[in-house]
Amino acid sequence: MKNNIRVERAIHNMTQAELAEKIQVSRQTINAMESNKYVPSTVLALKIARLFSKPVEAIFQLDPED
Amino acid sequence: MKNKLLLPHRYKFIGLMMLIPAFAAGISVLFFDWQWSPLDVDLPKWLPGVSDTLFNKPANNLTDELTLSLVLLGLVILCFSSEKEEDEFIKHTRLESLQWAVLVNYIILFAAVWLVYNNEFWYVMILSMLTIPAIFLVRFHWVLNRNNLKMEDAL
Repeated sequence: MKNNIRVERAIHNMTQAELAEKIQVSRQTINAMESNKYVPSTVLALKIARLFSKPVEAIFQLDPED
Repeated sequence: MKNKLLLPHRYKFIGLMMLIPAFAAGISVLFFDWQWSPLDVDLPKWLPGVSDTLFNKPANNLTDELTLSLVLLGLVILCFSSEKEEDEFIKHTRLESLQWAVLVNYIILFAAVWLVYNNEFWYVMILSMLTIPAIFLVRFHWVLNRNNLKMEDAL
C-alpha cells in the first residue's frame, strides 16, 4: 500500500511531530508510514483522512502487489 | 488499543537495575564458580534432585538460583515494559521482534547442537535460557533506533 501523507503534510504545512501529536501516535509511526515501512491500522488511516478532510482512498492507495 | 500485558515505561529502569548486577554475578557464578556463603541452606528433601545420601547432602548454595532468577526477571521486565509512546507501530515492531528472536534462538541452538560437544554443551543450555529475551531486546531497540536516526532529516 502506498500513501501520500508527506504531500498532505506539506499542503497543510505540518511537521511529522505535529501530525503525530494530532493523531496521538509517535513520530516513529509517521516516519515509518511515509517511508512505506508500515501499513497503518484502519483506525489510524481513518484518523489521518479525517484530519486532512479527505476520503481514505485519496491518501492511501493499493499497490499492484497488494 | 491498550496492551494489557505491558508494564509502565518506568519499569525499564527497574529491569535494567536488576539485570546489570545480576548479569555480572551470573558471569562469575557460571565461569568462576563463585558462591556467596551466607546463601548456604539445607533444602527440603522432597524437592526433585535433592536426596540425603552419604555423597549427596541436601545442602546447597543459593547464589546460582538467586542470580539466575534476577537475570530472568530483569530481562522479562525489560521486554515487557512499554515504550514512552507505545502505539500501533511500536506494537507491530514488538511482535515482529519476538518472532525474530524465537527464530534466531533456534537457529543458534541448532548450530550449537552440532558445533558444541560434551561438557561444554552445559554452557549452551544455560545461555539459551536467556537468548530469546536478549535477542528480542537487541532487535526491537535496533529497529526503533534506526527509525529514529532516519527521522532527523525527514521534517
